[in-house]
Amino acid sequence: MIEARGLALMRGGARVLDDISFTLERGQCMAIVGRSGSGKTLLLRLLAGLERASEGHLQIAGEAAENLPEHEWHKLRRHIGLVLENGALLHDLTLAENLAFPLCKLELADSEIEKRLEHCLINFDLDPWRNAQSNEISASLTKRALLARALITEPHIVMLDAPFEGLDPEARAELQADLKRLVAVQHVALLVTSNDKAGAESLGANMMALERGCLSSRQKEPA
Amino acid sequence: MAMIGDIRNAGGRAIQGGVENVGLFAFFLQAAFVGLPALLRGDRFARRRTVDALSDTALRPLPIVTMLAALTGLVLAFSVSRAFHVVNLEEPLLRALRSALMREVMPVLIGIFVAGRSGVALAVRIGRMIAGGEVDSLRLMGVDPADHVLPASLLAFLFAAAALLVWGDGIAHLAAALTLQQFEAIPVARYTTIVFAEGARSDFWFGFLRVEVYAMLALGIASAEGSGAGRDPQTLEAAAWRTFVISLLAIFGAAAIFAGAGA
Repeated sequence: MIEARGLALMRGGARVLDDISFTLERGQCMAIVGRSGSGKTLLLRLLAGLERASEGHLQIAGEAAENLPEHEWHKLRRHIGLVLENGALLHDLTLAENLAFPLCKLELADSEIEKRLEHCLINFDLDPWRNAQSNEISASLTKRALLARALITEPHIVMLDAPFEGLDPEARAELQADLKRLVAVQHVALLVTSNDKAGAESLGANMMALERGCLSSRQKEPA
Repeated sequence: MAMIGDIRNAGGRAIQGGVENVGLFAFFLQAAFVGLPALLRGDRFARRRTVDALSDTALRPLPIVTMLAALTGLVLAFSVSRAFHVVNLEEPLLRALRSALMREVMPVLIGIFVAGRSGVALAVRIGRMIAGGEVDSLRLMGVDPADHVLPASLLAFLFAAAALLVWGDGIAHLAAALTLQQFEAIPVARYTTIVFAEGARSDFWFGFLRVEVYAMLALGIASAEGSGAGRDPQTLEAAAWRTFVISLLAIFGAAAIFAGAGA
């Protein structure tokens, strides 16, 4: 699903990401752990095509992606559900419309859109706020809505930037269980970043450490 | 010398015609081939975004446009009425008033208004969408951010500029007619007969096409400045100010070209 070989990203003459190499297949989970500023968010942006690699090779869903033009990335991103730490809902839409928005782009029938939307609103416990404008809801609800929006299209690759940040222990355990289910049942390729090694370990993920833009530990072979 | 003058006038008219046609392209071609198709192939919320943008660009400024147009009509009517006492040429002076209002003053006024209000608002909106992560969200959902924002704004700017001009022209003429009736005893009916006689349609269309060019300049500058504002919210204020100043310069520059070409 994702194959990165020697990826590097330059910013202002400095290598902010260097020699990033790993593979992640469907049904696997990988956690990238590192301090703030180590480049975790930038790496996810790079893997989703929001940044362009200066060097290296990137393959997403079997397609060479490092030199793809933006309109081709638009198609490729339909396989990817990414939630960035500072991600945003669209301000001119309600919460329910925000969730339905990516489905409209998949050219699904209205009945299918409604079905997925209702399912998602109930599953993520967002139904009471369905008609709220996105700037009227709390930060934790926004985070949940972003996760719901990323998963509603049923992507094959899910990338979550610091998903456990700011969650209470109960909510964290719940999210961990949901993510494990996502990998085991829907065979999603899951990539999470975290400051917290314990949180990432509890997912049973392959662990990699990112330090100053370099992946400093090797990927474990799947058991 | 007379021949050179004729050639110059013919050249001026040709340039004027060419430049005015830019307005025709701006309105009909962009509306027909860019705005409407993008709207139709857009997501299910595209129509609502367009209605919101239209309401914001055309309806909300209506009270202030009404006041400005009325004051403009009043000021120009007073200026013309002073000339009545110097030269007894009522009819040509009223026609000059009409041309000044419809061809030059109202299009520039509406252009400045669209740039200052809707152009700045659009630049700030685009800047906020970039800084707040909405642009990244759109890209992640496979949506070109330009397709999301610009068709609705394009249609709103095109139609709002035209609608505000028609409204502004009407109000300005009403104010001028009432002023001249009150202070120069020229009946409104006489004012209407003279002003809306030969040449009025041509003046209206010149003004209409000019305001469309000004609106497109405002849209282009706002889009460029908003997109270039970067991720730092601090730079938004500077982008908004630049949008207004550059739009002003562009509108007055274009007005000067129109006026020079038609001289």
